[in-house]
Amino acid sequence: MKSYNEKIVTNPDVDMVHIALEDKSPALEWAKKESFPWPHIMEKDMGRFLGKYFKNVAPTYVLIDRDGTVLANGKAAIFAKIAELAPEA
Amino acid sequence: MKFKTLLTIGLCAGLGSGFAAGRTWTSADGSKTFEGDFESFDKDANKVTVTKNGRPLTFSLEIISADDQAWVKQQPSKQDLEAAAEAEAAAAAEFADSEAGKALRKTKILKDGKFVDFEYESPPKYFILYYSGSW
Repeated sequence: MKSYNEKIVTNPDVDMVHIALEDKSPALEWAKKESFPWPHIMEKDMGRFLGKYFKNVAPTYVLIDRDGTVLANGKAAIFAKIAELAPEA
Repeated sequence: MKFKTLLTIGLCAGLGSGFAAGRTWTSADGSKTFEGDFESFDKDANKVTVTKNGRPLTFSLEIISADDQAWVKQQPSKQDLEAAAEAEAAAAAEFADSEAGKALRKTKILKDGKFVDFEYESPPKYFILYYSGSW
């Protein structure tokens, strides 16, 4: 949450989407409990797209561009890549 | 997210209308000045639009001082902003039709204790996909 608030919220070039492994109801309860500010999508709503990036290992972070190209894997590498590609104005 | 949305909307508004910037403008001969907010520069017509007391004023670039002319030329022109906005709109449309865009169509956001549909007005260039569960 700290990294999101400090490095993502104010950067219009980047956003984080949480892919919830659960069904909608437990995902909602978790989001409410933690007051998650980012967008969510249920795993089952992503179709085959998801399998290109995740191999049933969670939590996992992947940075992609609009074309779906993977640019970095893992939190540290992702924030380093964002600093390179989309430094805040 | 609310701040991010507001920021994005603000940037989009900036692209559409130019970035208002207060400035003291000086005539070419240096004899007159006035306060006004820069609105846009039409480089094809060589015209500057400034808002003074809430009213738009449009004049030729040549009637202001060399310093003001140089400053105006450093700002994104109306044509530059329109081209950037068109490119962004085209990129957003392309994203909507892409595999990634289609996969992210059912995105939700927490609002008033419920998940509601969420759609980017201008999708970001990069997405961090965070794959996780509550357990």
